[in-house]
Amino acid sequence: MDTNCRAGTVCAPSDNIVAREIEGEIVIVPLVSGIGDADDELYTLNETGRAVWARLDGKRTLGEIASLLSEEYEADEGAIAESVLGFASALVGRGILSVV
Amino acid sequence: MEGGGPAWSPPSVRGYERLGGELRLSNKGQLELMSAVLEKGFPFRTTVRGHSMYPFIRDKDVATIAPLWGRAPRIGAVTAVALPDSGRLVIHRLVAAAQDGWLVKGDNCPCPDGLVPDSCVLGEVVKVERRGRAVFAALGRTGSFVAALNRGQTLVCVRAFLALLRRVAGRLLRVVQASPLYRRLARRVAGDVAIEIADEAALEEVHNRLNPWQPYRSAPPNPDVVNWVARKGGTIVGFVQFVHRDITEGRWRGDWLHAMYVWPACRGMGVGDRLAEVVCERARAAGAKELSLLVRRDNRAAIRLYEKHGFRAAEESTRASAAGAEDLYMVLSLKRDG
Repeated sequence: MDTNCRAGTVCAPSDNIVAREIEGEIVIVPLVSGIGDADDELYTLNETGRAVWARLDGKRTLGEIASLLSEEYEADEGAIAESVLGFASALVGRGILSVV
Repeated sequence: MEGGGPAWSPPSVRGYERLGGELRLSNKGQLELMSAVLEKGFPFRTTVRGHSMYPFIRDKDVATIAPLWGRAPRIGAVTAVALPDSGRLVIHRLVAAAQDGWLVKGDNCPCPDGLVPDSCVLGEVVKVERRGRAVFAALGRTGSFVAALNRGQTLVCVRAFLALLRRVAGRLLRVVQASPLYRRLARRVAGDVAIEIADEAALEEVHNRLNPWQPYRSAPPNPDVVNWVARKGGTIVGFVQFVHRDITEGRWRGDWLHAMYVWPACRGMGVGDRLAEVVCERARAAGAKELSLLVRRDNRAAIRLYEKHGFRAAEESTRASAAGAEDLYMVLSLKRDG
């Protein structure tokens, strides 16, 4: 499966995870073999990861999300877009995001 | 376009191998996470903490909690419950049905948690694992029996009675093991005891035997410590350490016989003799002038064993102050004559 995301890719949280904001963290539990296995593997995101996650609504493209974030953060839009695409690709690779 | 907001750092995802490791969620956080998974219709597998369900569920066991899928739980089920008063998550047993709810109680608790409505029962424990293996946790029909015992104080009384029996049996065993006849027969029947340097797996087995409440943590190799185990028929029956502290001052300086332990059922078979011998040999080979140890004053069998190997109580030694009031400092002189 190609996990490389592009600016026009639209992503949404996968059906095979449960994600909750708990105590300031986005905690992601993969549903492996039909079980939410908190003893095996959990994921959390850093601050900018949470900012990207909050905008992954299954409608906006990753390019649009990068553009929105460049209005909030002190950085070049190109650099933000590059890291957003890398981040989304990593999450697609782990089965946390699915491409819509 | 650049905004005037916070600096951008690349977003990242981080995996945590275990809940309770680096990512520490509060009880409320765990409740939220469990509820989210169960509400989605999936079982939730997590490490449980505490001793309130001992002996059936122990600290750091891994429990799988399944959603109820609309069915009513039954008396005796071990369930994940959000206590209505405090909002705390507990994994306890339903010991009785009440009007519109359940009486919930931990198997190791003298008092129930109280009455909880159906809506607070989140899921039912369907599997308990300990060190990677499924264990019996009285989850099926036996759960009803445990619940019946636990409704009053019967389970607490049964456990106290069994503990008393264990203490009495232990005392009787020690008396029998101290008799010369038993010792002669046991040594003959027991056969060969092999003493070997303890590898990582053996150290973990010894740790789990002696400190079942503490998780095993591998220590980096220390050239000043040698660990041995005694094996009878491949099974570990004893442990001892030789510790060299390369310091010239302080009460803990020098060479020590440390942490000698023989499994209670295997005492009187000469295992302690073999372990003491191997440490004494090691100390001599290392050129030690003396070998020290601490032993509890009321452990008369161990004191006799050490005296047999030449150790003597050294109450007048300044290093005897290393011992607490309950411990006796003993020393074996290894100085060669002439």
